Amino acid sequence: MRKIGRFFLSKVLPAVTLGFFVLLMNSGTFFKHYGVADPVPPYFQRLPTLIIQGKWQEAAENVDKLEAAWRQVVRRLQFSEERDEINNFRHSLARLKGYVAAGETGGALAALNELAETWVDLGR
Amino acid sequence: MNEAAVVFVRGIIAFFILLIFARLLGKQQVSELTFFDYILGITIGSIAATLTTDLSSRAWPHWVGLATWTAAVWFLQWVSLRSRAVAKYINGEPVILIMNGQIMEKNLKKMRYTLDDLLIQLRHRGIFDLKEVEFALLETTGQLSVLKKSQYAPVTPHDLKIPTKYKGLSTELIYDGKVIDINLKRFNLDRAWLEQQLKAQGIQSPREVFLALLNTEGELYVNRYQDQGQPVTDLSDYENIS
Repeated sequence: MRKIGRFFLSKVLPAVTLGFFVLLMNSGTFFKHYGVADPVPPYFQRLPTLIIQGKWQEAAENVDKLEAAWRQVVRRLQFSEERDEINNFRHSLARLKGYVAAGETGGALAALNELAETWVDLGR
Repeated sequence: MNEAAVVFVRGIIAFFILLIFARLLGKQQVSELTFFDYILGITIGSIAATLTTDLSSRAWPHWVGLATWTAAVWFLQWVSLRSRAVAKYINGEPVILIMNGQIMEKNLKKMRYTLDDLLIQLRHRGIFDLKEVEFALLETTGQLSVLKKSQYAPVTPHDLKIPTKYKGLSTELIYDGKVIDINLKRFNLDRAWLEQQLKAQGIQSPREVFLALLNTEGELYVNRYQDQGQPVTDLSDYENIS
């Protein structure tokens, strides 16, 4: 019994701890896609159409929803991802909001592409 | 992003990873470390610190760095254990600084060891007269090992042909007021025997005892929580400093 206890403490527990930490540090790729009520990627397909068609009201609503979705997902991504990438996403989102409010197609599309690129880079 | 929370979580990760990796690398004492081991330790610690506080990069690459350095150290240890030649190549060899009472100046220079360093190390070993020294070796850990001339070596019972009893390791029977039954069992003793021994020393319960050790001659050393009214000698001389 003592041997089993010692084996558990000296081998199993450290191995499980290491495994858990490795998973936690790489959890970004998983949390980006799974277990989210409102996933982020569909907005990258929906928004360009709305921006090109000049449906600014609808686009603004979608950007707000995208921001809410991002806020949810970032809580879980923050432990495994770079601070700069998270901040980049936040800044691009703010820029997108501004362009959509001003009804500027070129700027809005550029900011949206930037967002999509940052999203792809997260967890890499 | 809550930076404080992220640093906290990363800190926990780094702390336990460092603990596990340090255990994996063994139990070398700091004083036994070579200069290279010392630098390795600093590097591994530095990577762990970066893992905790450098939020501009992901935790994972830092972990990979930490694991790589640990694996490299572990590999060197493993190879050193299997090959004496490799061990010597990696850790170096002891160097003679004093031979037959003569200082080896060339070796001193080679080791970038000054005469003052040598004399300081000798004084640390209680040697103030160089003529007492037969051999002095600079170990790979940077420590000086000294062999005194036979006429200056301390006399041992063996020299005087005095018979001695076997002396081994003492065993803890009570630690912090708690009886360690497994150690009692090892010597075919029980709590009744222990309590009887304690009573003979005027102790009513093991809970009064901070530490009880049984030596290989069967004698019990007991240290109580209450130091029997003896006032502790105050070594401080703050009051006398003007």
